[in-house]
Amino acid sequence: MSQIKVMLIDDELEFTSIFSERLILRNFDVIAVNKVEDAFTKLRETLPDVILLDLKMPGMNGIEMLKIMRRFDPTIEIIIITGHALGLDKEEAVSMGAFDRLLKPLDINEVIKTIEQAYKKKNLEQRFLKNNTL
Amino acid sequence: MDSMKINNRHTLSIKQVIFPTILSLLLFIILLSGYFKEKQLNQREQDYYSPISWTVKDVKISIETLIEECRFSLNLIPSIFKNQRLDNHNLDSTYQTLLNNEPYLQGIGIMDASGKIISESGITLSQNYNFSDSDWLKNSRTFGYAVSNVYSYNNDNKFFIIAVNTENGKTAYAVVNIQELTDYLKNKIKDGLILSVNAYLLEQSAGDKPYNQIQILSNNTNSFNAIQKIPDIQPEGILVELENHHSNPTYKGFVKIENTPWTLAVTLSIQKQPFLPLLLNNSLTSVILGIILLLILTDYIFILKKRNIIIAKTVKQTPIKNIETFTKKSSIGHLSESMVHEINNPLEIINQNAGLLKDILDMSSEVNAAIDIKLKDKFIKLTQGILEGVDRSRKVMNRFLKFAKNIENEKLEADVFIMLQDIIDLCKEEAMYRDILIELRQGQSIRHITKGAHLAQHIFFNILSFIINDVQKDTSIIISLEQKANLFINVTFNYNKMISNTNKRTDILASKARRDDAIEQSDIKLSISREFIEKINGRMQVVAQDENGVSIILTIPI
Repeated sequence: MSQIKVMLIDDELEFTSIFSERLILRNFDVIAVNKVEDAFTKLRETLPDVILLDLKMPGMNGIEMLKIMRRFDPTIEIIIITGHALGLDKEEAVSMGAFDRLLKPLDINEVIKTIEQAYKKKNLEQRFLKNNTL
Repeated sequence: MDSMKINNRHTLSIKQVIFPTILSLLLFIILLSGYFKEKQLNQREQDYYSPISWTVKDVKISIETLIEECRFSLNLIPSIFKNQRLDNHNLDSTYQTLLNNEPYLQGIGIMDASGKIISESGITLSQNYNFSDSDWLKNSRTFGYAVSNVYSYNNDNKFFIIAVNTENGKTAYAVVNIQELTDYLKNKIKDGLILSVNAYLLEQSAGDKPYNQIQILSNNTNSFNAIQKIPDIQPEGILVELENHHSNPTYKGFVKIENTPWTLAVTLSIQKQPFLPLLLNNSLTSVILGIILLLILTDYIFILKKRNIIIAKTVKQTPIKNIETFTKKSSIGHLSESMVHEINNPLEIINQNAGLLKDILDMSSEVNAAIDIKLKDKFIKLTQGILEGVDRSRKVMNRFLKFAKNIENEKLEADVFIMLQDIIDLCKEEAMYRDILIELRQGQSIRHITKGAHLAQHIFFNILSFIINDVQKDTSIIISLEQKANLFINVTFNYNKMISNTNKRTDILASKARRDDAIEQSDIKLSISREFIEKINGRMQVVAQDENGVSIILTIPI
């Protein structure tokens, strides 16, 4: 499996720093972002395969961000991460366009498994789109 | 809804119950004592106080009492005469005996077969009267004894004669003074008469006259005019009839006294029984009873008034309590959620730091080369302990989150119309003070909402209080309800106020986080409401049009 490009968006600097390192150790290509405005810039620049998006970001609701990002690239897979489960359960997140929703504290193995599944889905969709286009 | 229960602590106090109970008990005792005292009275007094119990039978009994007395007196003489052989020899002694016993007798005498008085004692009639051709005397020959017409003596004393055929072919007679006789009867009868019975002795010798003489046998003369005429009565019968005379129903009883021109009449007015028996006739008792009733009534009115105030307060407090309860529940949910969030963040840092340490120990070849294998195992074990602790904390946090979510999603079925009515009641005074009319419209029946009723209540309150503070005086707020395809309920708050500031119009529903600067308190209510309604998957929008005023539209899922 080729290296998966993951964008990690969370306003907790220490979290993004450490979690990025753990993902890198597992051979992921990680772009860590701590601000909403940086997220959209980096998205355009790096075109990640999967995004780990914190639901509560100062300045914009995670759901709003998700909708904008999906509009920008419909094939991009977004996994919502949150310690704030009240506002959004798994089904709601999926219905809004997320691949999945994971609760903090995160289990690295669960995260990796979910990222890989999301990446597979993205690849399948891209292949499907490519075949249909041809 | 569970919060609609009325607080029972506001019901009657012991004092409020005991006071009227004691008064009522006192009243009951007084009435009971009156009843027993009445029972102890003799029949006459009891009748006086309970005239309603009288019936036709009572009238008949009164008449029979009179008849008995009359017959006794009137038949006494014939019976004496019949059993004696009267002659001149024993006339005087018989007369004396009768006169002593019967004071109405003025004289006795003997007539021959032609009716000529041959012997007389006491009053002397022979000089002025000749009864030989009298019809009544002929009757005595036929029937054995007769009563004469009424005669007068010296133009003052009226009398009649009782004539009896004796065994020796002669006629014995007694002169009866009518006044004396009726006085005598009156005295004898009145003791046996019910006090309120009026008794009359009527003479009807001439058929074309109603009656020509009345002797009153009772003390009471009030009903004297009640007898208009003497009805036809069978010689042995008693006639009792009911007559409504000037709305005062009266029983009248009549009976002919045999062998006399007299009719006995009895009248009895039917009175309504007094509401309270005996003791009300005592003025002091009446005053005491009046005071007691007044006190009971006053206390009762006081209790009613207090109850009404309590109920009114309770009714008014109900929506407040609903909102309080909902707010508390909501706050618990939010607090739990915030706590979990705040703990989760540092926990996540610990988790990831420990995770990274374990990763390094597991994965880094540099570290593996640098540290002792035993030391590495110990580090791995310690790191594993941290991660297990984090995992346990995570499970606890998840349970905590579920708890918070359950509170948030608690299903309370609620009627939106009633919820809005409660909110309007709550805001009514403030609206009236500002001359604001609030109208609630419901075009069709609306289904109950089953999710987030507590939040909906909070939202309604926030919006209505926002509008009341936002509008000018003398305006109206129209709240209308509409159900959309069994999925949503639209609640529209419309009011005729323009939002002057364009920026404010677009910003009015923005979240708190973006609007920390220069936000009016009332506007915060709307942004909070918006957050709440999104929690229950609803929607809130503001439509501000120049011609239609402002409409705040809530879309609430059913």
